[in-house]
Amino acid sequence: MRAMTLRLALTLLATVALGACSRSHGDSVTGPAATQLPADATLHSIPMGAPPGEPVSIAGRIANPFAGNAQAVAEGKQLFGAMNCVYCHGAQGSGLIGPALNGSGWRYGGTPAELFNSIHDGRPQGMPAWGARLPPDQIWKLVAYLQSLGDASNQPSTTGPQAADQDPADSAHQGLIAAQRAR
Amino acid sequence: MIRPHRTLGLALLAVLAACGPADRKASSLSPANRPQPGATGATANFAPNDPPGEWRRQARDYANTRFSPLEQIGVGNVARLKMAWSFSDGIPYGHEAAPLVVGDTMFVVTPYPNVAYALDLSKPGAPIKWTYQPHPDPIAVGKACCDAVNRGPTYADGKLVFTLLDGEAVALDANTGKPAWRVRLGQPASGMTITMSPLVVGNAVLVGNSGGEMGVRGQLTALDLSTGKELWRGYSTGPDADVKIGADYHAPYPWLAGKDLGASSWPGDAWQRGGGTVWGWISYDPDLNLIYEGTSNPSPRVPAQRPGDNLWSSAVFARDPKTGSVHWGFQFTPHDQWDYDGVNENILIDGPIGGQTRKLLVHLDRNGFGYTLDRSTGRIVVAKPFAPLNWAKGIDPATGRPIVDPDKEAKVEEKVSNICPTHIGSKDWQPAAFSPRTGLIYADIFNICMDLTDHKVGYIPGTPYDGMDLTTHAGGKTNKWGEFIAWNPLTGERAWSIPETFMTMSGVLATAGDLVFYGTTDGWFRAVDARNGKVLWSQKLSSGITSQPMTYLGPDGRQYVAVVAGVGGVASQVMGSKNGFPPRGGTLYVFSIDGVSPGSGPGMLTTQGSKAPGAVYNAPD
Ligand code: HEC
Repeated sequence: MRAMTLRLALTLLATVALGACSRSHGDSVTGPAATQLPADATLHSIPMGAPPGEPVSIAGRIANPFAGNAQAVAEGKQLFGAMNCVYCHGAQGSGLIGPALNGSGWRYGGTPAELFNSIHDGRPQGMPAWGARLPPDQIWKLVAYLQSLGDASNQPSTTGPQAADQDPADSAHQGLIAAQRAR
Repeated sequence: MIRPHRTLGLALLAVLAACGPADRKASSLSPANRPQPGATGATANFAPNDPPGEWRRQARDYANTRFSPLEQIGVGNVARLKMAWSFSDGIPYGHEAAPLVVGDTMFVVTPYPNVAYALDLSKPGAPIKWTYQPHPDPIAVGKACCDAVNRGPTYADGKLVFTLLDGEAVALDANTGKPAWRVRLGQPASGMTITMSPLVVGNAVLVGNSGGEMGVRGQLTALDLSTGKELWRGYSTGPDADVKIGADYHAPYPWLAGKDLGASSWPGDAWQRGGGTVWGWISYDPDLNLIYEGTSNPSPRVPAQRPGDNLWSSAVFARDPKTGSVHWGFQFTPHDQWDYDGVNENILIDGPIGGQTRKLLVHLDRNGFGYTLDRSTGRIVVAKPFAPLNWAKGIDPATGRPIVDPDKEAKVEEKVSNICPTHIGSKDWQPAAFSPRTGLIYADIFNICMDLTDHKVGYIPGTPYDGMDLTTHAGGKTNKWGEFIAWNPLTGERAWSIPETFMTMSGVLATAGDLVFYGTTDGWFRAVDARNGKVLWSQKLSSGITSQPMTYLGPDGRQYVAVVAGVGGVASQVMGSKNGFPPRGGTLYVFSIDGVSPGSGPGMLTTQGSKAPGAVYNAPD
């Protein structure tokens, strides 16, 4: 089922993927124009290493302007495929070369601002810095998508076709999209 | 407390020396290497004929046989094998290397962060003689597709040579651990990493690259052993000048002849991001003076975006080690659609074919075919499936090309079910062994198939250039994911096999004691009678085995067998959450008959420290 969902997402994307990749900083910004984004300076003053979940730092007080916005989450999901995040982090952020992003724990903090900084600035063990390629609103949409994954994973999955489709015997291989590769 | 034991050790040494097999200087061309009754008749050149008790490179010899002439441990006593001592490195990434033994020293190189240790085998407990910590760039961890692995060091001319994950090669003074040189061969930010083990031929250190999943262009570089200076570089894609195809080149088949095939078999300039990386093994034939080098899958992994044969991905080159000049090239999987890299080891043997002794190259490819090529020309002598496969109906004898089943071709946004083998092939990099006593090849292989959907993918430097969306399952109705096979390379038939529930992904060791050793990803280390496949000994280790077993004679004249447990790599990606799969963590285990060694036995043994000062060399970050 996960693979199906991914396929659907990527089908939508297939046509925009190549174009999106060459998009450079400053290309036209999509999404609600009125949204007020947090200031760059504030974001960069966030210290590293504050324990996640503890709103001691400024990070905990900055909200994602797109949180819960269904259209933004859908756009974030598209970007997650088009920017090849999915081939490092797995379908629905289940984890591959890079760590899982589905709310099962964060290396660099899971507040919206910390997620923004992880994506914008990159992280030392191979996470690329996307600030040079994606405008801030698109990064916030990616954050919105990641936030939606965390929410989903906290819900009991007893209903719906997703749950029915899961084959426990093969769960090891669910979401191993593109995962296993040569070198 | 120690003295009585040392005396005992010396006494034993004397006894063993008197018995003969303990002579570490004896020639490796002993009668022990000769074919036994019932053998296929295939044999090999064991150059450079290192002392029989030593193990100086991952494959032991240039021909890549992984055969040891040691025979103290044999079918009659192997059941008494017990752990003598062990060494843990505390690293969770997949362990894929064998330790080396040169003189009284064992050399171990870990996965990232690629720490090198020299262990003093002449002292109880094999204390650390020196340590080298290279501090490679951590960015590489997130660029390596299949775990931050390393396939081990090589020893030549007093130097220990190995690669670093972040795209470097380094040479240390083997006596002191002091770096002689360190060279960068590519940028990890672009997706290039290095995991392979170099081969040294003359003064040339041959180093390839990894990153075929990230649009990295394959390359093999020769570095000067004494200085690290680049001697030549041959690419796997692009114009002939870059590939080093020139006057020496002879096409094994007509479709492999023509100008700049490494560029013209791609759309536009796609060859620049075309993969064909060189992350596997290199073998060398001193008589023909040729090295043999396999290349990886093409990039992107989605074939729809690269119509054409995509030369020279999923192929093998024969090159002159002095100049890099290509003598022949053969592509196993033209226009690869399934991630069937051609990097697996090429084992060089000589054997009778139709009454004539031929110079052969044996290669069990990821694509499931066992190839025996004429290594002077690159033409096929035998090509038969060594495992069940359905992507091709066979190999066309006139061209050497696979006859692809159109039903199993990868499709964009359409699921193709049950393609066999899966992306990691019927066998991955884990190297097979050859025994001249039986004339057979021994290999850990897979029985895994996939359901595959392709998505088009954009090229973003330093990110996967991928597009394969797949799930895996065991082939057939067996639920056996692994298998250990004995393969007749002259006929293309199995002699026998041992099915395994978990993936089998270790290298293989063959010995003159008529034993073959292999490991399983759930952590069983086994010794098997090389003649008939009877399992004679098994030992469960602390983690799964994805490394390479080796054997050596200790300074006490005793034969030891060593292997590292420490599962990871693609095995953990494919089977990691299967019930019974072990956790990670690297530990070297050393076995001897009854577990006897200077590192075990009655009395209070203690660490004596090493002869050398126990130096630690820290490279600046
Ligand atoms: C080349 C592979 C790769 C790509 C492509 C990639 N990432 Fe990462 N990502 C990583 C790695 C590796 C880490 C862990 C870095 C570390 O620990 O230093 C990481 C870390 C992260 C983190 C922080 C996770 C934590 O636990 O704190 C986030 C968030 C993230 N990535 C999101 C993304 C998004 C969104 C994209 C696409 C725009 C993306 N990544 C693309 C490899 C990748």
